Amino acid sequence: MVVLTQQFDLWFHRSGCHNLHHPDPEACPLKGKIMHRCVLMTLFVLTASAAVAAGPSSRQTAARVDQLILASEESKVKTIDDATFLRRVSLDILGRPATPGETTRFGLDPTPNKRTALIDRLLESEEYGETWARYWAETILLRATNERSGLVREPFEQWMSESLNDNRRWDDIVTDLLTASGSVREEGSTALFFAHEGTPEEVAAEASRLFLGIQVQCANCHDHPWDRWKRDEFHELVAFFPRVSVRRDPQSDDRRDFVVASVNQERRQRRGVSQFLLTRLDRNKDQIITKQEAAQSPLQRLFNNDRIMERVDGNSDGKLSLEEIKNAQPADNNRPGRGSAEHFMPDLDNPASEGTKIDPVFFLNNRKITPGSDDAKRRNAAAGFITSRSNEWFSRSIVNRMWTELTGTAFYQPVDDIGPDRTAEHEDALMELASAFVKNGHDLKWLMRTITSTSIYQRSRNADVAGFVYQQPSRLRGDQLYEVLCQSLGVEDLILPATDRRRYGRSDPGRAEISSTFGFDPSVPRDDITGRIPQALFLMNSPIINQLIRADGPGSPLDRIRQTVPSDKEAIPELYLSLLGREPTAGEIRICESYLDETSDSSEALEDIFWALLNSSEFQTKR
Amino acid sequence: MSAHFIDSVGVGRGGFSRRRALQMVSGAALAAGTASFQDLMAAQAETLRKEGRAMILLWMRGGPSQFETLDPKPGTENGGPTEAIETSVPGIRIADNFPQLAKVMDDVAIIRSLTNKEGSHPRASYQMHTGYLPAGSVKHPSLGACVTQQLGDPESDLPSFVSVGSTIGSGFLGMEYEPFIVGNAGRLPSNVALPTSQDRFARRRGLLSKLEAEFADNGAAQLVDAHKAIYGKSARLVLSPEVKAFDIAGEKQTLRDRYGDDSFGRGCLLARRLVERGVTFVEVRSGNWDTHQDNFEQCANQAGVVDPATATLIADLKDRGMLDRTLVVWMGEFGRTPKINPRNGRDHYPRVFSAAMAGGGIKGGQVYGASNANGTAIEHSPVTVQDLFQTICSSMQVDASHENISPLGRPLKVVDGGEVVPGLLS
Repeated sequence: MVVLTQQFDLWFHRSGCHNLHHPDPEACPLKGKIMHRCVLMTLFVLTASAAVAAGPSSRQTAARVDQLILASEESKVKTIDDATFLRRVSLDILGRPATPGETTRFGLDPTPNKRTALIDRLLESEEYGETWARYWAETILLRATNERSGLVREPFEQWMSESLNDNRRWDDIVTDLLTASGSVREEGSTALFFAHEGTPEEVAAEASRLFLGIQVQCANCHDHPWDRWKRDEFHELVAFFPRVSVRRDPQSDDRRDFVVASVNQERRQRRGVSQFLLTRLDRNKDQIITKQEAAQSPLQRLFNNDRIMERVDGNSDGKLSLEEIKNAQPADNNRPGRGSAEHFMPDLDNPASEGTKIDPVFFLNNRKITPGSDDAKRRNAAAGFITSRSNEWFSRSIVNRMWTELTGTAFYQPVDDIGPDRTAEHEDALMELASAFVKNGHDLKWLMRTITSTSIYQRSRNADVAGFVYQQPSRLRGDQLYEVLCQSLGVEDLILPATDRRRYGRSDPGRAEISSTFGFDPSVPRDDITGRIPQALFLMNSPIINQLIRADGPGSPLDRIRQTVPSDKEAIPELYLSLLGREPTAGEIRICESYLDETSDSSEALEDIFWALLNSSEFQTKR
Repeated sequence: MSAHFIDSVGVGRGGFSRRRALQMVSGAALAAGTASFQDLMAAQAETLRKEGRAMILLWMRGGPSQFETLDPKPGTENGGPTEAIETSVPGIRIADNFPQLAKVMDDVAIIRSLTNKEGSHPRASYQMHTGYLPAGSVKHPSLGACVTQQLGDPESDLPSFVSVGSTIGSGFLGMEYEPFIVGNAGRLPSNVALPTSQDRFARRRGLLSKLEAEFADNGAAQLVDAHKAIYGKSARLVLSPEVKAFDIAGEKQTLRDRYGDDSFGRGCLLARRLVERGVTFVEVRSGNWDTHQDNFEQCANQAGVVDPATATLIADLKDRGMLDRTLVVWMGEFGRTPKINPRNGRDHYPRVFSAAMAGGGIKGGQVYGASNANGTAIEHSPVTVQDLFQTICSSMQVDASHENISPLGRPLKVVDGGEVVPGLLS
């Protein structure tokens, strides 16, 4: 029975009763009632806890992280009310605000551990995977160097969304992204390679930036001016990725079909012609190869192709001098998507030369692989090194990224520039989270649950304090704003005329349009993101918005609200609830009521209040 | 360290007003040489803006064939059927597709020796807009953004950087220097027209600002301030009489006809109207010049639109006394192959291509550089992308060596390397 009681306490602990309102489990009024059922459930709990990974629970880690951070902060945190919490956590986990109905129900729910239960419930929703897939699409594709990268967006979002909803391990997801091959429009995991046309320098740099938070590519051309990375180290990372080609699918007539594939054999014409061959062909040793001399040799191809000939034959004499042949072999770095058996680091003093062949070495642990390894071996090795449990930057990076996105405050800022030469705030708390994340098997839902359970996450925003707990309301991502707009305007989708036809076949043009007008790279610190004129013009003046906020349209949001309230003044709190997810303050009621009084046409006045709330800075933010 | 640096010199995204900076820099500080580089730049920018220096980029999307535009090779195999015609400048001949441009050749300098290595549309377009090759780690600002940063008037009602059709944006310089995109030249851009009366718009904004004050008091002051700044700017645009610049209906029909009643012609006319009202950089796009097949027919069609618009723009600017301070640059991302392919087309060829420049202190009536007889190589005086950009900056009196700090703290010059092409500027 002693064992059982302990188990009960553990279960009770995890089930969330030990929350902010009841720091002492004994003080929880429900404990006695639950006790009876609990004994029956203990057996189940025992089995269940054996099945999950051996890491610490979300609740334990959240408490520990809070303790570590708050112990050394001057300012105390105040917990937000239920409505604010619901809006915040819905925007964060589902990418959309809670509906007014959900807000009311949640507020009335008397269960003491309802926040924990809510987090668990939200994480089971398909919307979780969908919205975070869009987050990753923006994060990866907004930095794309391939202008056609839009083609992989939908397949990527679908693949990522399924991976997240199945709660696949983060290390497995990243491994897939680094080792993907196949048709771009079928295999969403090809996104990273397709985004950069397989250019090994870009893929290596992005893999390091996105998954380790380390910007090693500054060492592309020179040793890093203030970080420790050497030019060789960057190119040794690049050498894991040269054997990848991104090309039009030869099996398909559709010019939008591309394939990511391994290139393990050097195509002879690529690296050019060996000196041996040239010497053999140049029978008369005049340093010039004629068409006759090239006959039956690999060089014959050049003479038979006018386009190549035109490029190679500088003086257009119909013959190729050894000099012309040599000059015609461009550096591989200029030919994205072709793939190459080896990576050559360019000679900066002589950019036209081949450069130095570099073998793969992983810069964080100096581990090598056999030189000349095939593509699968190289990319699997890179994925292994990057996602390894012993690579602390892999876990620190994702933990810091998620923490920053959710709590509005950062251990490291920007999230994609961390690494051994940066100083973290509250590093002990970050380490606590990161190591528990690894012990829980790189479990992203666990991470999400843990962060949203902390009192730091649930603190009320306070821009008046200094230090880590400082928080302004943070700007919504374009994707979240789209959901907020649709919900506020009472529509499923916003039908907007697309201004950019190049958004290859997006099935959701309204969302694409809002994302392009309001979107930003999620890796950029939120404080650096400013609004811009087209955003304001859209919210102020767009015909569709001004149509939807009208009071006279039957079934319009305003019309529906007015049907349910006895007086126009009582529509004000409803508008606040619907647009901002909260009740108005006394001051706001005063302002709105006097506006109603001053305006002769009350329909117009309500429309104007609707318009003002939609155009407020709060509307575009997460409190 | 980088964030602090950006703040202190005020080139960041904080909505720094150079006009204010100028007021703050005392004459004594300038005289004593204690003013910082930024202060000096601010002082200089103010003077230049008074001169209203501006640039219009005529972007030939797809890569125009040099043989069918500025560098014809009649009578050669590679030249194809395209003929060359005399221009107003004896000795300079251009393709017969451009009879109007030929008449204003006195004001135009042609560069026939541009050379580059990028033969892919997106990469070359990026490079010809920013001066840099694309990189995942940093989004470079376009030349338009850099020029606007140095010369644009932050107090203007109109946006300082306008593009007819979407283009490469301001990259890491941030929203402040993003181009304002006009989808349909000649009409008001979308969402600029008020859906209500001006009175009601004012009432709405009054209500909004009262409610915002409540939110600011509740701990969101910084956010509310930034929001207010953007809304102030947007409202000023919406209410400004200057916004009529976007509507070309008021222009004389004869002039509109000369520009051409098509999207490029209207775009060029719009560009002149915007520059007239103090806009610093306007891009107008034409295309598609990607003539892999039926090159000659397609080029003639494109030129039928581009030739009258370009020539009229130059003449119109000159008539209004604006040409000296307005640089017009005509270019695309690369040239096209000398060899005509079996589909009667020409493919991508970055090795040799042409561009034209007029106004902004450019000495017209000259050709710089040359391609060889069959057009396959540069004969003499090669011009790189960086050289071209240096020349543009020099014409605009924009500091090409000015370093912008990337988000990672890396200094990036407006133009990295290259030299001003000698003799192009008078």
